[in-house]
Amino acid sequence: MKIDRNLIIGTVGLILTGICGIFSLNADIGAILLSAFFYLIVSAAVLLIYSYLIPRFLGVYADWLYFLPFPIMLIASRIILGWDLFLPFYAAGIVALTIDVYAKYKAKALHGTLMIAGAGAASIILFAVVSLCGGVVL
Amino acid sequence: MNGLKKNGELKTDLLRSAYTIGELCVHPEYAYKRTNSEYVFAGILLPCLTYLFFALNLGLERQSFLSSATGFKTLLLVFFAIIVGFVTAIVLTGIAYLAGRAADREINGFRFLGSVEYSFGIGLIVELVGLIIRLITGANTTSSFGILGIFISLVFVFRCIFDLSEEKKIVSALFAALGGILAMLGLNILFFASF
Repeated sequence: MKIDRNLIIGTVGLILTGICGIFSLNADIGAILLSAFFYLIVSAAVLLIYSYLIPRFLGVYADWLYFLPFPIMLIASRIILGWDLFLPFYAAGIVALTIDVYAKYKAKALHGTLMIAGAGAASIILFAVVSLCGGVVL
Repeated sequence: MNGLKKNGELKTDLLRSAYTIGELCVHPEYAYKRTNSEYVFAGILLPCLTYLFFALNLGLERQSFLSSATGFKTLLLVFFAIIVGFVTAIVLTGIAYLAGRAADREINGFRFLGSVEYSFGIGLIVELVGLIIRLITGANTTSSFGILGIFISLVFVFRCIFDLSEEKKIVSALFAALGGILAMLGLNILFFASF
């Protein structure tokens, strides 16, 4: 697996999203550290899901710059606007990424489309489940 | 006979227009290539309607738990949301114009407004689905469907902004984020509007 700028931007974006989610918790330091650990695992799992379902996802197809505006907006929404939301930001970021991957993906057959949509949906569901388990406001 | 023929032509024209609008909603970047201005003028309905349905959803939510919320106040909120939708489309076009200038590209602001407007097409459907689910089940869909609908519209706007530059994509991402923050300010005004 080639580590490139996209992977770094994606990982930073996912971790920023996770950190904002952890700040939504009303819990003690132990629970927050545990959630941080879970979010790291989820971030890795999201990358793995995409890479497994879409070959060469990280090398050719994924442009995580499309995801990047949403973590920035999430941070601004917490600091400037005081919103306590975070799943819509993550979901919109993943939708942006999924649309971009679909636009670049060569195989436009039903199988390829389902793989891309499945990767997006699986990552949103995974994130939502972990957030709900951690008691984060969605 | 002549009337029937004219009726048939009208139907064909309507179907063709509906198909074109649908195509522009899925590929809003195509709107930039269109030189006829009627699509830009007609397209302004899309952000206005998207915000209208969002505000209607928000107003109904307020009525369900705030005793001071009335039908008249919801109507005022909806009217205000239409203005916010219009202003948001203009502001996003301004941001795209600046992003284009940063990428050394001369942007036709009026035609780019068409791209921004049609970017709200899919978001409008998401808002409508959220409103229907609320009306049928009574579930609170403002933050799930409501905000997500606006954000999905922003996804398409951001794609148009990214298309402006091939090299300076990180700059485009920052301009896109700025546009998103300004759009969120519009939503915030609606959230905390006291009527």
